[in-house]
Amino acid sequence: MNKFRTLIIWFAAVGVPLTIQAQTLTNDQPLVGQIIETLALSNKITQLPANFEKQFEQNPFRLSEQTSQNWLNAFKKAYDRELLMQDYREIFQVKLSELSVEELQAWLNKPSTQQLAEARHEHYSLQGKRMQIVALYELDKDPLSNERQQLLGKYAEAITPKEAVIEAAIAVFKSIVNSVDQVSTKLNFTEAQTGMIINNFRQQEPEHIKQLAEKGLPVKFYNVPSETISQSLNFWQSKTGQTLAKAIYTSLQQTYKKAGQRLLKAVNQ
Amino acid sequence: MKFRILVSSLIILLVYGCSTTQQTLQKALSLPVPVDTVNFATLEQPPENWYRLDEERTQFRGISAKLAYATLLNDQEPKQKVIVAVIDGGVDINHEDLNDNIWTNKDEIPDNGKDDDNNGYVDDIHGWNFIGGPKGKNVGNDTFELTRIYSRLHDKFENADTAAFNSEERQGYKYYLDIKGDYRYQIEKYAGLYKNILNLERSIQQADKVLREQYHGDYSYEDLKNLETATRKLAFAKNVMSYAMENEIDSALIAEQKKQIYEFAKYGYNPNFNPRHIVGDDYADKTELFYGNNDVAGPDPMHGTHVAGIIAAERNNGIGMNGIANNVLIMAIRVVPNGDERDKDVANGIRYAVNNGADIINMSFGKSYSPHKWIVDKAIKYADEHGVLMVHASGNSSENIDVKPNYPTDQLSKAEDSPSIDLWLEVGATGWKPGKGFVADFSNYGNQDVDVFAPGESIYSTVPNGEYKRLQGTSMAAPVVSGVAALLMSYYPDLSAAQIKEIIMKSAVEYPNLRITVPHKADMEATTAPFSDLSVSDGVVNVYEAVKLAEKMTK
Repeated sequence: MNKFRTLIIWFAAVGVPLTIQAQTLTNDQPLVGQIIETLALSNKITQLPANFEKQFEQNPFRLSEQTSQNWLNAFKKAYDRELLMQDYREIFQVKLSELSVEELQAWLNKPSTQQLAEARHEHYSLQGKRMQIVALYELDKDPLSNERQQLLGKYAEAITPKEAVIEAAIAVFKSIVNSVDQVSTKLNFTEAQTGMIINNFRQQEPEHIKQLAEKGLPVKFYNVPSETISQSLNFWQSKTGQTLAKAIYTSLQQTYKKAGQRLLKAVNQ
Repeated sequence: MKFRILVSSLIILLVYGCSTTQQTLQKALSLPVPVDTVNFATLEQPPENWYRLDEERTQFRGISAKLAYATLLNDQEPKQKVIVAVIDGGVDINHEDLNDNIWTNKDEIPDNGKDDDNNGYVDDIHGWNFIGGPKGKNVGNDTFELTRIYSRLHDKFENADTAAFNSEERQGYKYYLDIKGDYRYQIEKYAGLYKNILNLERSIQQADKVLREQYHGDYSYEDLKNLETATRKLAFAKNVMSYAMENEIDSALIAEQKKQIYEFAKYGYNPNFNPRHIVGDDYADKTELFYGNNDVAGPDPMHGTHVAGIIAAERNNGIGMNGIANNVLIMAIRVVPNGDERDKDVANGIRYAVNNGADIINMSFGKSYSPHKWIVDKAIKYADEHGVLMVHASGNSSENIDVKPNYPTDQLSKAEDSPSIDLWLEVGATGWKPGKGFVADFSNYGNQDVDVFAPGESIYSTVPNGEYKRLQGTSMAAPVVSGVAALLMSYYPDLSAAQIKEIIMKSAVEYPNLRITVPHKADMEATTAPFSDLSVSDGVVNVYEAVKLAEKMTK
């Protein structure tokens, strides 16, 4: 049906954040805070809702101006950065308790972890934006060696549990579909229709890992030696690393679900 | 930064036709045969010499230089050699169509390693390079002034305890925040622009692939216009490729734009980049005069060579093109890198020009910030006091420079009643098509601060290695005016620089009934205004009218 196609095409334009950001590591913070800062998860957590919000400002559902504005305000409140971070910390803390503190601390203290954290931090800074242009141009002229490409491919696979990433995006998407359906006088999805829309979205999601390996990481880690990435890869491919990666994204999914519940509650008031 | 917008060269033929009698007369006068109609709507490009043509005879709104030479100046000889200093990024002084018109310092013995004329510069045979260093090394890329200011203030203010600031420090901090905002804006702008260019490049490649499959090989714009799009893929390909063709976007242009933005990112906006050590001067001492080397070409003399050719390409030698002036010498002074020129070098370039006999100084460069304006002002005053006419390009930002200055300027301070320099001409650019688009859409303008307009689109002139190219910008418009000034000076040596300026201003051709689209940024709404609102003289420089007035003034 036309309205479903419109939604799918529109949502396919909004990607899943492929990158994580790091900030300066401080050993005074509890472990969860250290990991969030090292991997700059605050940026990851807010990026996807921010992408959706930008699209909504164009009123793609053709709601009335007032309805669209009200819905947008409700979305902003439900996905407020402070609320998201608070929920994420709580959820992530619980998942971290299943992991070895010693192993995680040892990983945090490694020079390779610190170096990659700096690269992530730099990437999102003002100078990092400037350097992205330089990296993109120079990579175009002088492509990565096969070894480097393979290394980044493995790294992308290791840090991005595919299903968990998609489910996190779907959590936001689902909350949007459900809440818009509530406020719109024109859309009235049945549960089956909603399920179909979401499945279509799931299938049309871009190949995150491939994009991360080919576009995201080469730029973000442009000045990071392969040896450093390789050392970090050892951790992410370990049982602890894999569990941590899954914990990051399942925590994200659950955080978005909570936000989605807030959104639905707000539009139903 | 140099004011140039690159365009690709195209070949065009223009056909004239009229009666036999007219043809005989026209041939005798070496004039083009008058054209009944030039279809500006369909004409892809003007003739190479359009900017020197006369509108009444050819419909091209040139400066009537060709007409002036063929009539008013036909039985006259120039009476003096005029020296025009081209302060720029470098000049290819060995170009086949320039090499006989390059100034030579006769008081200097070439390449003996001595300052024979005691002017402070060793072996300055054809000019000087203020951004060169020992052993012939050169500054190629440099930062933008904004970056330099940002870098300096960032170190001072970024982690400062603002609560402890006194009132002066608070003012400084506020200025830092403004600069930081400007700097951030530029970075984010170019980051976004680069990504857009990459997306466009990808789309064009995809579209080309689809269309080549469709047409089993090459295709034309006409093919696309007639293409029926049965699938969304084909519709996408048609839209993208039509857009590319209509806007002359090809892989060469995309590559050029990517490279320019890359260089901006790697050098211009890089606060950690500083090539000044190459020059080896005491940079902190802005009054220092003697540094540099004698390589007046530098690593990239494209821009300066083009400017020089507009003024002084050898006339009627059977090759290349004709400069506007015919008894002129170019003094090459290099101060402009690939980035923003530095105030110290601009000041010294102007002083060098004055001290070594330049009559006119052409400055086809500019920037939005001038932290050491005082040293440039001193030099400009010096030139003014010595009777040297300065011609400056107004800039290519589509802005009103009455509101936002483009440095250097002829205003010695920001106060409304600031003294200004008399011997200064600020030049905006016009195009070759009449109508609303007459003022070049990139040109800066200003009812108070732009003095006159001159042709600045599709300007054919000399470029390095014996080549020729069309370029556009107020960089090209300024030397048109410099060339006119030089022509007047050489034929009417009794006229002062002030009188030459007066003649250029008073003889500018006006279009009192013309409303034009005011140059504006892409994200701003277009407005129209009378052409006369955009400059002091209300008009476009014209050699024929200027010569007539010069004749009158010398009688």
